Amino acid sequence: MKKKIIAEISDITKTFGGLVALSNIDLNIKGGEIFGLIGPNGAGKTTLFNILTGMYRPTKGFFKLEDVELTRLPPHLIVKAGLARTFQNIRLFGTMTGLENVMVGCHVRTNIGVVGAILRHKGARQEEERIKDRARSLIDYVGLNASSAQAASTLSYGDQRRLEIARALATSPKVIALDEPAAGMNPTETSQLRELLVKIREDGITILLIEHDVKLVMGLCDTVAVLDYGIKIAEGTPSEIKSNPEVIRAYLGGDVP
Amino acid sequence: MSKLFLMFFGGRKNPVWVGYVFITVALIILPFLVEASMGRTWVRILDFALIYAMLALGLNIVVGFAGLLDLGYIAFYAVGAYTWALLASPQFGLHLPFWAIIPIGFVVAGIFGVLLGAPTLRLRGDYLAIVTLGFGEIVRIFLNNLDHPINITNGPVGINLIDPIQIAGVSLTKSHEILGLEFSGAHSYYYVLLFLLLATVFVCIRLENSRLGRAWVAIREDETAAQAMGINTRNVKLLAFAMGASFGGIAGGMFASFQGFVSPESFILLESIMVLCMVVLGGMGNIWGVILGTFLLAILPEVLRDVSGPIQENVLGRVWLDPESLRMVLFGLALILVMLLRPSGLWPKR
Amino acid sequence: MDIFLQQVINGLVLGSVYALVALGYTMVYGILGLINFAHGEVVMVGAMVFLTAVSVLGGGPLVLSNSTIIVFAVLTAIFVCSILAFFIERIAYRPLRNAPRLAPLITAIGMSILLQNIAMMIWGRQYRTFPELFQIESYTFAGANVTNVQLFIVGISIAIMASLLAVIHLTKVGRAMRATAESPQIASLMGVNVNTVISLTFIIGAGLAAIAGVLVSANYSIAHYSMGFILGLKAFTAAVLGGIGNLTGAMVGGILLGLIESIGAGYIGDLTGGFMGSHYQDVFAFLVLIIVLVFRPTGIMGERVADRS
Repeated sequence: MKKKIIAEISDITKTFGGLVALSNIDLNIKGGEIFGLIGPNGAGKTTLFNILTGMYRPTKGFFKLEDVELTRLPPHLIVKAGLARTFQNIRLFGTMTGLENVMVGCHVRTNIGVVGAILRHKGARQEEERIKDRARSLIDYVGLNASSAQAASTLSYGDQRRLEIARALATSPKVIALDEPAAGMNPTETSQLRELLVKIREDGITILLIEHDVKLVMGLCDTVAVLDYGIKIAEGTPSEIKSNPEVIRAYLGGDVP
Repeated sequence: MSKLFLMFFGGRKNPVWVGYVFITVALIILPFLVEASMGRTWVRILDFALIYAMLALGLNIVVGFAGLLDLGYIAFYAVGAYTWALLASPQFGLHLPFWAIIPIGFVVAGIFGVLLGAPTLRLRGDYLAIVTLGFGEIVRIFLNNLDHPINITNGPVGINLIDPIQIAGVSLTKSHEILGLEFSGAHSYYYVLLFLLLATVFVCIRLENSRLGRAWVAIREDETAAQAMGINTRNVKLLAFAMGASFGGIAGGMFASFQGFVSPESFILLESIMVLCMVVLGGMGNIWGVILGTFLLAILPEVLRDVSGPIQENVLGRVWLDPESLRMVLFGLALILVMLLRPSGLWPKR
Repeated sequence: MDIFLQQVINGLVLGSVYALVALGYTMVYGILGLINFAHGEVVMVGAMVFLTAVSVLGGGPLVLSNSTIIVFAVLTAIFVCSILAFFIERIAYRPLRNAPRLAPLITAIGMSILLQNIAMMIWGRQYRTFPELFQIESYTFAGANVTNVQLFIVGISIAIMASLLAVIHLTKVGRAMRATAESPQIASLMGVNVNTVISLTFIIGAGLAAIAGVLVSANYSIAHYSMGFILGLKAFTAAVLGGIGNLTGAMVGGILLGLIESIGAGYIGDLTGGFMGSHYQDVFAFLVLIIVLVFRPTGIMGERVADRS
């Protein structure tokens, strides 16, 4: 089955002062796949994430989601268009409970304003119920039932990572961008994460995954792209990537011919 | 809310409504108890505490919920007070009724909130604090100087003879006798202010437990993450400024009509700081904590003023230290001690 | 008389005092991230102690020359202010180093109220006049007047700021301070005694504040228990204007604010067609601050920190 391209990244270039962080990146992400983005530290993976999600403006290039150009839009409109993200260094709303964190994620798909909040008319009550139900089911989905009433900052590391995913899913994304979700996880947590990611893919959400755990990426991703010093040096199936000499050089060192 | 009452009445045995009835009765008879035990001045002090509580709850939306440190909040109080003063005094010969001025004051202060909030949206933390402080001072300086070339605010002298609230032609500042009880102006205003405060509390609770309230807290906790969750941080922050300012505006209007007089002196930086102290001391973000903080800071200094002179006379034989400055010294000490002992405030959230 | 030049001179004098006080704010902010609201009161205490010391020394049994009196009085002011600042930090700020961000702000405000009122109890409510310790001479320079006091204020300020920069950038102590400002945790791992550095920062800031207090009261010939608050506020504004946490920024911001205020006050009437008079001096200063921050949210010399995700 040939899958349709959902996200098109074309010619994205980013310079900070004189430093070229990314140069002419082209990526095509197909709907329903797990797309892995790997590369050594400082290769520009997170910078690319920040451009896609509207945190940085690219110097050049564009990014389309389902043929709608999102480049240079503010972050909240990008989320609304269907791209959600997590952060490499977990950024939860610390004093809020797990459930409340996920409820915040529903913000973008709901619209009760000040008047509704104060009067709490029927529509507002129903929407609030919907938010709560959705948040609870997402908490359940990522397997956090036991600790959803705790303040987010008190959760264990692995739970915080999963809560971030639940929060991102609450925005009802078409593509979810995960920035090193397995970082700092123990093997049990990593295997739970793998199951979760497979489940998300089965539910039709495309995943863009930055990860250092090469084993996880190779076992999970449908397509993998490799960045090195801001340049895409390879793209292909995991097995193609594994045998690509450029990739081996980038990871193991040595001169590029 | 019921949690609060359960705390007081131990839950199981007493049904919650007993608590409600008890508190309602207590609030209704409070001014008479206060007058009987401590005199009418104290009813006025109570009234001012209610006004401050409204003000502090408004600031709590900005600082407590949304985490935006505003050191010029008193400007909105000033805007509300002057709106009332200009629309219901001999200054321009306008005498609008209170039910027209309250919404006007609400909207005008809200607009000021947006106008002053808009340029600060990109600023974080203490930069925001100093800019809002600047705005607060700018508003005060304009009030102080807009008596020429066109006289709008009457300058440093202020505006006098402001209309009190009138209901069906009856002025609330006059004394009335109802059912054999004497209702002074302070008494009548107490009920109006209490009603407004309860309304403010109601609105705050509703906002806090809404999609917008969560968005505010999200911005306070991590603005970048809030953006990444699809929150339009610009609009949501402006909304916090506007809501906070509007409550400040109503409180200001009440202040003007209750006092019958406004001048720029009531809106100095120290007042902004005072309101901020009420919010932080009580427990930022917690509505009940903020009210507690307000009442402590509005009433404690008055108590100190009353007792520090006589105590010195009794204990030391004569008044060694000027009660007014002693009051401020103790006030400063109290701020330091409370924060050292309870850095999150007396009654923090969670 | 050349109004513009005159206002520039007045602005420089005012600005150098702002700069001295702003340095104290910015050093503390750079290390603790705290607006030390009590700093303005330290300036006031400096002025008051100086005046008291002058009257004690001048009226004492010893016959001292005026310059000896000045030197001893200034040293006394610096000494008292340093001790005061040391205890302020120990009592009101150190226990709250890991507390919620607004808690130390409130203790700072409490400290400010406390100091102001204690000062009022000690020195009274009345204005105190600056004693005639030296002959005030006035020079005319290209159509503007300069007094020897004004020249002295600017000269002393420049000398002090230069030596502060030298201390911060050339000495071991300065390096420890810069390291602590960068990251207290890492500095302490590198063997820097962070607590000592912080105490030292407060003491140096207080020394500068004491001198500023003396200079400002010499400039206006009066001192008052409430003089510190507004002065402190302006100085803090100057520090933010320059980019808080940045020493050069505080100096630039201070001088700039002084110039803006006095030039603004001189010309605001003409600019607004007589609508606004010099009462609007402060509006002018704050407006410039707001405009600068709106276009450059980190101040003039502040570094642009990319918000890394």
